[in-house]
Amino acid sequence: MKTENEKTLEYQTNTEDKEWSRKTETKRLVLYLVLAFALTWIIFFAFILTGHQWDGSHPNLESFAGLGMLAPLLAHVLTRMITKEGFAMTGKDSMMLGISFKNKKWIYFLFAMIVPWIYFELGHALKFLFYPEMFDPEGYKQLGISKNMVIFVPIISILQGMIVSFAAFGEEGGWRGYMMPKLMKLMGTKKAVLIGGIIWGLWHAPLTCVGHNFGTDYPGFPYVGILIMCINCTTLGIALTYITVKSGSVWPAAIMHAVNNANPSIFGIFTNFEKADEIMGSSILMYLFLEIPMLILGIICFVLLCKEKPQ
Amino acid sequence: MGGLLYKDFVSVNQINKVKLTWILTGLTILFIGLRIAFPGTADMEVFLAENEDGEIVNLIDTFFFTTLGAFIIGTLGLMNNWIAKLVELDDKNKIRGYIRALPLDKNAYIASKYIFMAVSAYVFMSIYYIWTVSGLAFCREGLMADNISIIGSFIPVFIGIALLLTAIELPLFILLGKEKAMLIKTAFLMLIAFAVIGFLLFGDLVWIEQHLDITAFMKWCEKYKMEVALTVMLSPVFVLAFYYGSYRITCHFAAKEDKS
Repeated sequence: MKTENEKTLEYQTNTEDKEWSRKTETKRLVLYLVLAFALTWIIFFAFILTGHQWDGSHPNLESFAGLGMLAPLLAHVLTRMITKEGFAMTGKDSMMLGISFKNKKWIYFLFAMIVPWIYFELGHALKFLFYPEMFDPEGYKQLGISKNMVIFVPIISILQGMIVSFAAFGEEGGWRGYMMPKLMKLMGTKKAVLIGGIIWGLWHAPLTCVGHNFGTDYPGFPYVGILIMCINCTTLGIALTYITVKSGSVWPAAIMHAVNNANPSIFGIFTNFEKADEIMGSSILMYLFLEIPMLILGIICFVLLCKEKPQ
Repeated sequence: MGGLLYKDFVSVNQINKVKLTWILTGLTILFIGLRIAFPGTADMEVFLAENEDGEIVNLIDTFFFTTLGAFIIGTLGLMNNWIAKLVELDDKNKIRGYIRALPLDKNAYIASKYIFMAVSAYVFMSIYYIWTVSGLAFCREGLMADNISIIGSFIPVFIGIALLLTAIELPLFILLGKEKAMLIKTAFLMLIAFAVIGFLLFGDLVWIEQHLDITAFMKWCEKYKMEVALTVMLSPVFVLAFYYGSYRITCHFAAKEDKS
């Protein structure tokens, strides 16, 4: 039997250990965030300060600025080197780079490939439901393709997303591979996904300020854009965190992020963009329609994620 | 499986006491740094030249285009060389014997080789994309930008070809051992080289000149760009199916060999 003094000492040691662990984890997270933001914003600000806007610049230069997506993974690796956390590929406190299809985990890979296509189709369908005049039955001609090829457009987008998934992997390797596990450990799942989403949204802020995703011509520019980006990152981030937790790997999240960035959609091809500009005034409203199905997905994943037992 | 993959990674990572990961990272940083320092968009007259079509070409862009091509061909060759190196090291250290004694799936060794080469192909593909994006970002619009862009769009095809060759070579190296496999590979390559030389010496070169029209091919690609894009994007899917088939065949024959 332990004496009262021993019990008190044990309690104090446990509490001190927990407090020490909490402080260490917080320091590691702060270090990671400083590195991730600094490395990326150097690229983003170099792009901006050399007089470039997201809309006005050459697409090739935009792609180059997009290489900033690799910075979170680089920050993850550097943080582990500095904090000497090790580079385990799988298991507890690992980089979560392993791939396993056992215990039906292949479902999350399929989910990552298909779900973005579904929510983009639903978003565009919703847009046509409210504004049918935006539907252009000959919209596919804008792409210079025949009608028979329309079905292949989202398939090409999905495959392209998967082939060029290294950029999205750069982000997910950092956000889902390091930031989210730390946040979840420090503040629990509910707060972590919200805070994580906001951090991720703010990370995009320099590019949002030069017209990335929403352009520059909308009311409340750029603050409304940054706010919507934070909401978007939170909803998408919840789904990405959910599949990362369930699969134990960042790869499904990287695939889903890449496919999401490739915008796979058939309905999207039939949008009359001139009409859309006339009706909506700016692309931000159209973006909100696409956000609705993603928001529903985020809520579903949030509920499922909260039901998960902490590991 | 993780351990086997790590073993393979350690085997190929060391080139003359310099780690390959650092070489590739250094090359990438150097390429990006030089590209930013010498943009083709800056019209320095000393580097500008006019081609036969009267188009102004920046020679710096030509240099980066050539370097990019050389990098891609060089690293694809390097990757192809790994198969022999991995099998040779395993034979030397009697790794297969040790693995048989471990409580691992009997196909784990073969699977590790296939997975390792597929992961390497993905890593190289990603690096090629980084190089291409950097090469294009500061390129003067026109011929060279188009050329780099074409390289970029055909990266999945290059990687597909590398994986196809790997799918053919891996069974040979795993089942027959390094020496016999190298013999077959060399004989096959020599056969191709002789065929090409033979054609160049005695073949109808006029026919090629008449029928090989790159401009017409480019126009055809432009006309059927969606079909071309679909083929390019689907090529890794078909190649991976073939790759998996090769893995199954190797496992089948390895099991037969083990029984006998």
